[in-house]
Amino acid sequence: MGRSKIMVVEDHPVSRKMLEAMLRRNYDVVCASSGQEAVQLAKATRPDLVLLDIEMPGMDGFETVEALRVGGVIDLAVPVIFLTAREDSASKEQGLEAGAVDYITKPYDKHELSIKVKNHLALYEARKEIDAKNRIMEREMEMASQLQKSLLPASFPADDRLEFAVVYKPVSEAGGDFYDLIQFPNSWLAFAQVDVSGHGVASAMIGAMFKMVFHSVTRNDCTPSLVLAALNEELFSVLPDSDFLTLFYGTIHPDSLDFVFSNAGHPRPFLYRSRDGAIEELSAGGPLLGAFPGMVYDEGRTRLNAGDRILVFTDGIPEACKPGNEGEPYSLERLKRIFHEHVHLPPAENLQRIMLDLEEFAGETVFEDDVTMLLISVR
Amino acid sequence: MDIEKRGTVTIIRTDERLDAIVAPQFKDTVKKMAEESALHLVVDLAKTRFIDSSGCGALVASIRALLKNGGEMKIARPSAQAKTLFELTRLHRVFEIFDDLDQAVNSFSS
Repeated sequence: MGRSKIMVVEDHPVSRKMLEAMLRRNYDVVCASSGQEAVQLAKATRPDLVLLDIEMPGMDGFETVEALRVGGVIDLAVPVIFLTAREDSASKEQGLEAGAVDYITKPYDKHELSIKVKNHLALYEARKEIDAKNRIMEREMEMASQLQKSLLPASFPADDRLEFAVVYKPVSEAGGDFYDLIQFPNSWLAFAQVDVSGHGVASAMIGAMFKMVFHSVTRNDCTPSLVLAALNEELFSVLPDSDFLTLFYGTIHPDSLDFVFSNAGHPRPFLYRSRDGAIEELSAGGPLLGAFPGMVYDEGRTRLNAGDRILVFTDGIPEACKPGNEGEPYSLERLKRIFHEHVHLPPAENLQRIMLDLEEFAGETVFEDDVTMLLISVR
Repeated sequence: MDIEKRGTVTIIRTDERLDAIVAPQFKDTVKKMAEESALHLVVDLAKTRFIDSSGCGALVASIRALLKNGGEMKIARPSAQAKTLFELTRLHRVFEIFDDLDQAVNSFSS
């Protein structure tokens, strides 16, 4: 790291010379004798710290700091220290409010001056470093987010009998929820909804791992119990210790409307039956994936009819909380009730109504978990 | 959360909630202890009224850390809500669950 650059703004020539002499040993020093000159000089020299006299003819210190900040002449993080002869606390307060980080009263104490300058420069350097790291993290997050988007199916299969709708709201740029669809040559259609423990870059990477394993496992066979058992073994061998995922996997034959599914620790999806208006919960399955070897998964099997709907959702919905974690969470009961109330609307609108109710419930709360819903309806 | 030693068995008592807020601390505590020795751990849920999916996740991560280091984990006195959650997520197939704390403590093989 090179020497830091300090700009001294002081109309009084003797004071200016004295300050310059005090600082010159450790820093590069540039001097301005007025506010106007300071703005021009800052543009040209980009100082790391500014020592600014309050009482100057023309622009005073307060006006100068504003001109420096507002015009973006110096970055907001660049420390400005006021030089003041005034002992009154009002002008000190005014200075700090105007965006100064500190003040030094005249006559200058050499020791005080050098310590304050050194400390504020160190803080500024640390802050620059944090900003740089944040930029790297943001970039990584964005890459994870792009990776994650590339994992999601670009479109839903067009089918005469089955219609798909989805709501997907990751909590951060890269969430831990995914869904996927596969059309098999034997015309079975498979869908999966996944919730990876955690969010962020790691989850997006685990999502990518899952997608690869999922597609390789389903290459030969789409039978849910077998797919889940194979997925569990594969994921157990590749996932880090504390990571795992929950999954709902369903397969539908578009002609016969046979529906076979298995649930790996995922919230139980709702199956709405149009014939009697009842809602069934899809529980057949086994434990979550990737945490324990040798798990066995049961399979549920039923036949769908026109008007039936399957709502698959992640735990972010029933566990959504009110502001300040007050009271009970959104709950499965409320989700079921709102789903049922609007089940006669078109699929996308059915989901929208649930989202609206959820947002109304949560108010200003930022969702702590990803929110994903997949709705499959039979025409 | 507090920790008690009873012979060769360690008991962790969780607080009223085992949720997204406290789960990381719980997970880290168990992981650290698991790495120090082959731990016989009882997670006593008697005081815990509410567990969410993060809490479940912390229990899963804990038991994995223990098994990896030659330890064992039992769960004692889960609330009705916790029991339902373990059944929904099928974790009751993986966790050994006891309604009585002494039974859980005495259940370790040696």
